[in-house]
Amino acid sequence: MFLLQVMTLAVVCSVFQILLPGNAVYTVSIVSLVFGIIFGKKPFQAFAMGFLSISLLWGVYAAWIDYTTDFILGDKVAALFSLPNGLALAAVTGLIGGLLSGCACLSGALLRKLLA
Amino acid sequence: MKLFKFLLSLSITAVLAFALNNKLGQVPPLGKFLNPFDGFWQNAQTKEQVISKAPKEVHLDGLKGRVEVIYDERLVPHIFAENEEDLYFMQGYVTAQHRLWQMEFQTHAAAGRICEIVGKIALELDRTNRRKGLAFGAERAVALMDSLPLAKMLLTQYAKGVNAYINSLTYKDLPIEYKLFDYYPEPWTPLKTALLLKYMANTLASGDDAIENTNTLKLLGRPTFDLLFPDYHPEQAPIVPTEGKWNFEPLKVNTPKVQFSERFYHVVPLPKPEPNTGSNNWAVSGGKTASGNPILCDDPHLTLSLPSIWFEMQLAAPGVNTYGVTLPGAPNVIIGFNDSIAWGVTNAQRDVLDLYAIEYKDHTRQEYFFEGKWRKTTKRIEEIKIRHQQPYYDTVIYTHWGPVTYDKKFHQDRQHSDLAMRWTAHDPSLELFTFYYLNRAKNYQDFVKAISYFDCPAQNFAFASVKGDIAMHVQGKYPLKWREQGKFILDGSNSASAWQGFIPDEHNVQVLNPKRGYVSSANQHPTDTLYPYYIYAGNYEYYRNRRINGLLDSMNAITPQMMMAMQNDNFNLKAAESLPYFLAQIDTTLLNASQKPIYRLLSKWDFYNHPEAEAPSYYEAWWSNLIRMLWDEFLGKGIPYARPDAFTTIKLLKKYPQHPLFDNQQTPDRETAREIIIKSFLEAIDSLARWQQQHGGQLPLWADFKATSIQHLARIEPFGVKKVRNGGNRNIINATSERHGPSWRMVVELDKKGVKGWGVYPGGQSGNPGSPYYANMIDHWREGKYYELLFMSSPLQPVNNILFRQTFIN
Repeated sequence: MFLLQVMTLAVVCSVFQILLPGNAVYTVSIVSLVFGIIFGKKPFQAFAMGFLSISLLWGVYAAWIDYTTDFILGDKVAALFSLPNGLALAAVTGLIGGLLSGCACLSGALLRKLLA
Repeated sequence: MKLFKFLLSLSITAVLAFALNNKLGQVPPLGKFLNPFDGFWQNAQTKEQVISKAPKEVHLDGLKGRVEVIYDERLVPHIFAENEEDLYFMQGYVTAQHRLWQMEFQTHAAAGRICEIVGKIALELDRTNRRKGLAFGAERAVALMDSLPLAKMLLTQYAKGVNAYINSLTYKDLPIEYKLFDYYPEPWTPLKTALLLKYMANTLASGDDAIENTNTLKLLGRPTFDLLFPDYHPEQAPIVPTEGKWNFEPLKVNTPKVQFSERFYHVVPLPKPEPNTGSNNWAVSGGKTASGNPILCDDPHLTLSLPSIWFEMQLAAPGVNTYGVTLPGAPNVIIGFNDSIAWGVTNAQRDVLDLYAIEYKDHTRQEYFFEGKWRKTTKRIEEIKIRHQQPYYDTVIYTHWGPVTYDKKFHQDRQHSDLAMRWTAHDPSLELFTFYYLNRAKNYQDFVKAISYFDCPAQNFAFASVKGDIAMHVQGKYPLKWREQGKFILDGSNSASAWQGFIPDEHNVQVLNPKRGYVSSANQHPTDTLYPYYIYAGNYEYYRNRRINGLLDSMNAITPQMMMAMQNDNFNLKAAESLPYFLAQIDTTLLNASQKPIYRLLSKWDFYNHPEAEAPSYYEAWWSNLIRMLWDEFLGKGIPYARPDAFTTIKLLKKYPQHPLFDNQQTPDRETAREIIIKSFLEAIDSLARWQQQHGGQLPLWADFKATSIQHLARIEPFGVKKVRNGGNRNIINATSERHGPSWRMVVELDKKGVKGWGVYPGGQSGNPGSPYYANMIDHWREGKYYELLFMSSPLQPVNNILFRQTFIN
């Protein structure tokens, strides 16, 4: 059930990110918040759902782009951030997305508790 | 408690979201920038994606007919339009597709608007460009071009094309630099094209040493000044040596009794255009070539940067079919060829910027003294917007001479001077027409008409045609000057200090089909002292030109391959003329065991700056120590002084080694040139030993010691390319120094049966650091190889190795 929620969140976020380009941060925040309200039975579990879902979505997608483009840009931008390579930057990308989604899911779960 | 927890969590989320969506200091908005759906990751591309993402058919509002764009294997677009309006529309569109960020950034720089993007760090740069009046000049140029239907068509169609592309962009497609600095492109306008041309004028024709010359003359007195800064060296090989006499009646120039300023100027001169921006061009007549066809060669030397300064392109429409390199931001081909002619440029060094001392009536600066009366000034308030900060306001006073560039608020030291700038780049001009007509020129007469529109930055135009003509014109708008006018600061209160007009184009230095069978230029003196007008520039080149002429004199049955080899020639004429003398000054019995092998290495050197040789590293280190020790010490610091050039220095060292100039004032002993030569040799050895220590004992091979780098335009380090291993240096035909070099090498054979071209530049067609076409030509360039240029006669011509074709219609 938990894994299904993680996957659904990733899919819904992907759809909205494609439909609303240039609004990644707000798209992820709002979708995650709503998911938190609906599925966030326990605060920690909600955070884990968001974190896992979006860190995998962003991190794996970024790593996949980096790999398929022969690391042409990932390595250069990684150097800008003093990271060893593009795959490390993809991990950071995942971490940032995961943190954002996790916090938003947590907020959703806490709101759900408040309203319950 | 539940409420508190929720509010706390919500606030953290909101703060996090805000932080990830906004630029914080130098950190880009991390969420926006890193998210893989439309952040920077989407800028990464494979060759297959470049092809698959280009739609076969595109509808564009504003096109009249149908335009075919064919990309060859190096991503060079070949544009075939049904009319000129569509051609320039598509040139703008296609250029923006590949170079949008660069074209906007360069025009922002010219306009003094970089602070808007990067913040206060660029304030000095922005103030400088505004005080030079680059936008003022661009506005005046646009006003003139707006009144001429052809110029207006070129500028507006190009702008429409760029804007059609900008309007099609979503955040995902933005060039990475916009994402990194977090800003958006603004609409393109004709003013931006004019700014780009002023940006080039600034790069090539803003040099002036009146401040340094005035101080140096006062310090040294006339005889020594003339010895160190002669207007002409007889050993020089000018671009066009006088053959017989000049076939025109020169205009009269009155030399007024004007006193040069008799004081030191404590102003801090603006940075000079990079002294290594020079160029080579030459054309050989059919009599000297193997095929009997003329061959034209050009390699402009500029600061090496990525995205590259040039964008290669073929432009074809009824009445025009031309191939060459374009400047992203300006319509037409700038250096190239068509089926009848080829042309190439080098910078024509000439002092076209003079400084006039201004005396204000009072601190309001509303009036200045001129011809015994007070004359009104105008004020231009420059608002420099600074990212995340209050704007900076800089009031620039304008006199009838031009902007008062230096004043109490700008570049002063100890006491202040008000200096106004008279510069040909401020005059309205139509350089755009030169390229429009060159692109269509059929013969020499068309060429002459085309270049008559070219005012600033003055260029040496080399020409060759399939009819067999070769020519060289030192073309520009040159002030009519009396001897030494503008070499020193002029009196701005006296009308007699003004330029007395301009040299007519027909009187400009030029030659058609000279007896020697070739024409050439490499930033040297345009002609010799028999030319009736006064010519001055502080930065003539003395070595590349003589090497080029020496090689061309000795060559016959020339092939394009021989010309390519010549463009990559590493022979160091300066070393050949100076090193034997330097070595003769050294008493080898006084050298120790580690110094002797280096002496021997240099003695056996063949004077070629080859990448894998060690000797050039020692020679160049020796030379840079020597020239610094010679001039820095005796001229002192604190006040800007001029320094003699390499050629004059070597000549003086050989001719007057005992001259008191060479005595180091800081030591009690009396020194001669010899002591300084020895001392600088020993220091060079030490500095290379240190270099070896820092590089893990690696041999100081020239390519590694020089370490040429090609930097990103906004100095984003990982987007540049470091350690491009190659030979050459300044003063060598292959003029590749640490940061500068041949920015486009072109060889064109003017064959009646079909003009053939070869070319290469140190970069790639794409401006996107995530594209495989961003820096893909650098290795070829470095190795001295060329690409055969695909000059198509029609879009239907069957060609191999096409990447993709696109059709654009309304």
